[in-house]
Amino acid sequence: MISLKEVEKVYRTEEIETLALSGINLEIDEGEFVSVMGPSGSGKSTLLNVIGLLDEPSKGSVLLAGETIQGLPDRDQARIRNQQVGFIFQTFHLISDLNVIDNVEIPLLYRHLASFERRSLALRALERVGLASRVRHFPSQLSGGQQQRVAIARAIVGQPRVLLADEPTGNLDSQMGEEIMKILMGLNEDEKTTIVMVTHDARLAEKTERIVRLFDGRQVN
Amino acid sequence: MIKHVFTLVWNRRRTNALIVAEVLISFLVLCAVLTLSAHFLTNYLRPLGFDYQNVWNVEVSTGLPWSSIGQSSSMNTTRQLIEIAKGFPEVKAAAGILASPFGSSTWTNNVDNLSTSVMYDGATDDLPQVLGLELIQGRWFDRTDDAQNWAPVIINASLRDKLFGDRDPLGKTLIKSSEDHRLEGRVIGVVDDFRFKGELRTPFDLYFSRLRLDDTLSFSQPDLLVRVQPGTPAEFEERLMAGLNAAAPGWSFNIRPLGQMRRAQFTEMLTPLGIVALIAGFLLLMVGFGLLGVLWQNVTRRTSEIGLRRALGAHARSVYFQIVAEILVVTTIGLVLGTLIAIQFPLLGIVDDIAMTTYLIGLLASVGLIYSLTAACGLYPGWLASRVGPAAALHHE
Repeated sequence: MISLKEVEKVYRTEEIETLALSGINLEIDEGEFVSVMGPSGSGKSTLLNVIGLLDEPSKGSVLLAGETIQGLPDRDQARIRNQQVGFIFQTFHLISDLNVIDNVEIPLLYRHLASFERRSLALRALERVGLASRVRHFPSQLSGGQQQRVAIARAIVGQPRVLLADEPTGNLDSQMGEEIMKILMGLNEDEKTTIVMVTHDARLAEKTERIVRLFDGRQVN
Repeated sequence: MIKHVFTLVWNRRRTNALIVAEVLISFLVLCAVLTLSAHFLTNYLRPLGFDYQNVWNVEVSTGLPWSSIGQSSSMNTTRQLIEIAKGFPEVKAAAGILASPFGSSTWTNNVDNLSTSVMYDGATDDLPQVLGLELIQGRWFDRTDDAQNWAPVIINASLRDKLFGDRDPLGKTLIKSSEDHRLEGRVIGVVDDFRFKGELRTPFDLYFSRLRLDDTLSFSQPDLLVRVQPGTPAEFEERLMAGLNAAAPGWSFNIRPLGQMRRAQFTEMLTPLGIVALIAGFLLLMVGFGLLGVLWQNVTRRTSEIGLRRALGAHARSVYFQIVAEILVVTTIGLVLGTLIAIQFPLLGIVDDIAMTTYLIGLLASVGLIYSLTAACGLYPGWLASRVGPAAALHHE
């Protein structure tokens, strides 16, 4: 499903050059649930950004469902992000001026779908994460755990094949973290969604099928 | 996407209220300036109906008490003054008139059953030679009118159309009435127009009465209009003044070329408009800079949101479109409110003088200008937003 070959990512400024990823070779099968672990600054989020087309690798190739994705025009990259990938962030990234259902609908705005169709898909996604009763609430009226569930609903509303979760439980207490993990595992098992999750929590990582460890931008296992 | 943009704008209504207020005020001021400009321009482009070049106005002041004005003796003197003026080789023609072109005095009367009052002027038989007035029907006043037992009247084309439509107006009776008297006149001629109040004023219905100068006038002392030969030097004014003073000792005269009076009237009418236009210009500039600043700040503040949208599938152009669409929606709200206020003026009859078409032109031009300004102000921040890389934007603080 996901294939990285000799991927390198260098961030350059006028003064310094930072090697964020180096020589990454990674194969993730369809339906696999993989954790990425490593200390801060080891390149975990960069790896996720490269897989999710949020960032271009400096070297190497990235294939998603057999298709080379780097170097594609902006419009094609946007289409792949919209249709193949769902993102979950540590800080939720909900738009505070939109209510729950409007937040969940956002990915569908970039597809040619009728309003009622968007609404129906968004409601289904919210039901999947157990928040169907909170559709008119604004993010500020929800707890951290509920906000992350909204973010998961937004990530799955377009039925992507890959979910990229960047420390999805990092801002939550352990109980809420468990709840989020349960939802992710359910999605992996029921929908066969491929999940790549960055985490610092070894306990959660152990629940996944495989752990990829990074250190100073290099794969260490 | 449009619905989504409306939702966002509505949910951010407090933030957007300032922009809406700016748009609303600028629109109203701009609308006033553009409507008045269109009104003046439309009026200016219409035929004036007379030739003011080389015509001098002699304002006559008898110094007599109000009750003595218009007595036979005064009229005899006035007739002599016209003859004296005609005697100068520099003068081609001279006439008496009650309300001079570009002057401040006007007279109105009720005519027949017309709901609005009608302008009227009194003039002697020589006025067409002085002002180059051309009749489109009938004739001007002349000595044959002395023998008539009815009052001859000359009307302009718009009054003819209102009173008689397609019928021939010549010989038709026209009833003039004011608070204290009612007079019958008979139409003997039609002029295309005589816009003696100047080019910038709205055209009006008008009729002329005949000034005989051997009769008792009840209301006003006429002024003189003198057509001089082209190239007559300004020094002639002194000699003309001396001639008039000699014929009417104790009277005073103020001689001014009609061209000069016209320029003074232009200044008087256009200066306030110029001031308002200047204010509108500054206001637009302020709104432009304000909008640019607000939108720029808005884009910076929303960098993270823009990154999120890019991550969720928005391509650069759709981010660009969204930023510009948002400002256009906010502008539309301001313009709708502004239009609702602006259309009250013609509906309540506050701007009756201005034609509805002119008002609509001013309104639409203002809408177009405000849209162009706000769109232009949204383009650069929109472009900036579209260039933000998704990964960097998501981590923007």
